[in-house]
Amino acid sequence: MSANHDVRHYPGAGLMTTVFFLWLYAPIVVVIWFSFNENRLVSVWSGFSTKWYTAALANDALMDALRVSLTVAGIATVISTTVALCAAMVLSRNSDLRFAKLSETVVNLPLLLPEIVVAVATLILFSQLEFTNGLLRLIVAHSAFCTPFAFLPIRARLQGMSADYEEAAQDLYATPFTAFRRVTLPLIMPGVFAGAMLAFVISMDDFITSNMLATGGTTTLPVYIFSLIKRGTTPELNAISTLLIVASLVIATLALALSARAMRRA
Amino acid sequence: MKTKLTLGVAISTLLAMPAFAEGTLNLYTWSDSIAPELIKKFEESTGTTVNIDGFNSNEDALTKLQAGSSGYDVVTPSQHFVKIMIDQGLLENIDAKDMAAFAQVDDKWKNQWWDPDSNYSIPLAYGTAGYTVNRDEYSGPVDSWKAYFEPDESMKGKIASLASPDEVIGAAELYLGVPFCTEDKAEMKKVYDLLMAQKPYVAAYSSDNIENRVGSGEVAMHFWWDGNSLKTRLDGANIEYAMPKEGLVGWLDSFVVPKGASNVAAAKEFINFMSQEENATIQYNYYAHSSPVKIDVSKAKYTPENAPELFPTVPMEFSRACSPAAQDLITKVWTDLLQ
Amino acid sequence: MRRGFRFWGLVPAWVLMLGTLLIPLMIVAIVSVAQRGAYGGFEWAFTLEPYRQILFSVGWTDELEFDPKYLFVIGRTLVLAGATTLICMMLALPVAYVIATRTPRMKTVLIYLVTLPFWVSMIVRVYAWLIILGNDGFVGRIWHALGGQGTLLFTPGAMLVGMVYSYIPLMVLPVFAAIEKLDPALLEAGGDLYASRWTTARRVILPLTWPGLAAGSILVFVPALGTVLEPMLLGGGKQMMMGTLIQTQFGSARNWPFGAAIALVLMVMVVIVLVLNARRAMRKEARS
Repeated sequence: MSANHDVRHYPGAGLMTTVFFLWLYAPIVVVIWFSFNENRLVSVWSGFSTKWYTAALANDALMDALRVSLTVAGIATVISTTVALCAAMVLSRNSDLRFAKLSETVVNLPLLLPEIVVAVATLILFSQLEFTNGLLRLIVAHSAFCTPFAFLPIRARLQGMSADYEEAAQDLYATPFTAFRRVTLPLIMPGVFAGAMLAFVISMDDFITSNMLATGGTTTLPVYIFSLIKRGTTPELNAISTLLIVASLVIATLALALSARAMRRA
Repeated sequence: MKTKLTLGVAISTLLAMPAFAEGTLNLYTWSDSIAPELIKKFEESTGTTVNIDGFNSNEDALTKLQAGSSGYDVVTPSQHFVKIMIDQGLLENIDAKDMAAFAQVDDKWKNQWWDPDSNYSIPLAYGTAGYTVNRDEYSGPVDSWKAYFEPDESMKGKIASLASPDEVIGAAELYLGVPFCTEDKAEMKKVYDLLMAQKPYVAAYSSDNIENRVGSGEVAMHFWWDGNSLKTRLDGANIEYAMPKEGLVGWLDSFVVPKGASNVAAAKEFINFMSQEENATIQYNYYAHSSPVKIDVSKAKYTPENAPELFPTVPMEFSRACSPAAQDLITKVWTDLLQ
Repeated sequence: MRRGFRFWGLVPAWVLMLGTLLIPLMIVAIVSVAQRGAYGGFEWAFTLEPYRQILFSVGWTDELEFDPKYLFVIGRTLVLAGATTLICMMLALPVAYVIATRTPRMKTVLIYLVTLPFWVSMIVRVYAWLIILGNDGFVGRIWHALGGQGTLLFTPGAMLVGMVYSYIPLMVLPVFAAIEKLDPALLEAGGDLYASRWTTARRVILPLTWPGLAAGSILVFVPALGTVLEPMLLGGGKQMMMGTLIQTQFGSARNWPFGAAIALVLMVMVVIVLVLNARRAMRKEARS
């Protein structure tokens, strides 16, 4: 067979893939690289310095924004993971359930709708209800759009797991709840953790909804970054972005590794 | 065990939440308008934590308040927006006339049309809106709005305007001799035609980051405010604030407290603090806009000699709160312009 | 207990989604036929004004004239979202193919590398392109060195680059999944039958990966329709898309009903895409 027939190799495809990965990571590297730039002008390199990290860490407004983001993400993660866990349990253990398909769609709804539409819809509702606490507004909205991200890994884990364990456990223990707590939950824990971490990252990174709903004193980190971008680029902004990039990547990596391992075992 | 741990984390985070409400003062002011030194001083003397968010247009401030309880305790809109906010019931009656700060206010700014009984607002700063030219990029005359609204061919793509209509339309009206807040469609059509003819020359309609844009010469002319232009000039930029013979658009920003603010007492305390002579002087030297409250003239950084921007030689006309019909026309001019 | 949990287990999810999505969306529909307040907000009075505004404007002499400016915004949104989808497809096909033909270990690593940037905050990813395309940035300087005029930022091209970058992982993953399912024997048969591997690609690989491409297109096209950050930062706010138009109406333009009407139009567009996709999937199921 001539080389021209070898369907496993296409000339240029390998090169293109290399370029593709470079292109995928170049922007992230650029942000990180210039965060160590001594110069005030972001893209004019004039020497290595970590002073922008010092500046960022001493920036009160940034720390406030970080605290808001962590609070919102932390609570929204707990809520969305709980909601997702309950829903996933019901949906994967009752195939004869009425409206199962509909319920599943509803849980995943935030993935299907444009975020800006949901954000303005929530804004109108909250302003009509005179729902005033900025932090609670963010927590409620974030809990909703984080739910599918928590739901999918848990659901996948449950689907890959036989119901035999639970049934055996239910024969042994008195209540289904005990069976759930002692048997099912430990088995699906990797999925739950993966889901919770993904929900956390999604909440931490959100801009559109937070920007619509944020009020005085509840500026989240991405909203704060946006306000800095509008005022012009500085290496301090790169330093802040770098910290956010590193945090997101570490948590996402953990979550993905965890769910990959969970899938393999199941 | 793990459930308990998660629960524990959740509860402790919830308990930490009141830290956001208690002893916190949330300010919503024009970007970079309050001297950081004073914020620090206020935080130290009262133990209150101050958060500041910035806005770049009165419209933004109004929008935030309208979206239902902004969460802010103090906002600093301009006079005509103070009037609109009062009419819309968005402000807290703080009995401004009985506050210590009120005694510091220059008599000519008391009981003005936007707050006739001085119930809602204490003035913070006043000044003008006009345009600034970068003298490295533009050497022509700046004694009229003509240079800005009907520029030379060479200014194509070298002009910048603001992101919101408020003062820009006022300036266009001054140039054309159209009265502010007119409900006459034909008159507003003239304003529209003028701005539409200017559009090809406009590089950006943006209220952010103005000092870099005009200071660096990225654009040659920028719609701007007196004090900001002054500060940037003193920082070394070769710029000049124009004195158009048709007049400048006047504004006066006041401290107001949004309805439902969670910390009204601290808000009033802050306003009083800012109006004390010593602090008002620091604020004046920082913000570089004229002060409507008493300042220590001997310590004031800006004088007619070194800061001609603040002492205009041309007429000044204050923006007004327009009727809904007139406001609709302004909105129409702007949306048709920016589509 | 078990029966009870079947019901109660789903209640939190339903309550959350009803309260933050379904009921708010119904309110959006109502607000889109309400009167706008003079200084913002809205008043409860029925009017079709917001929808009329999409197609017609009241001219300076009170005449009602057909005005396509918002149709242009809708058109621009469709074109840019469509272009994003197409470019993502063209990039994803070869890349996914190369990944799918690696060793299992390598596959996992590469797929992980494709997914990873997706978890970086959208705002940071857009900011990165702001630096790169800016006049002092890497690409900006090359552009000037090649004799390019003006700035690369604030153009539809800049928006497109940002959008493709944001959504590409959503295309690579399903295409990869489809290619991985291909039977190598089929490919080899194709290789034997046809003269060249390009013909194999066109006649065998492309048709068989079509489901993956279709799924990826939905995943890219739908969020691209509602994109906000790219037009705002990379488009300089001058090139409106539906997402930014909605945002402005709830922000500085203070015309909530009109913003709600546009949001509803966007929703309807998304639902049409999703329904078409579901029908396609159903037809396929029926056939097999």
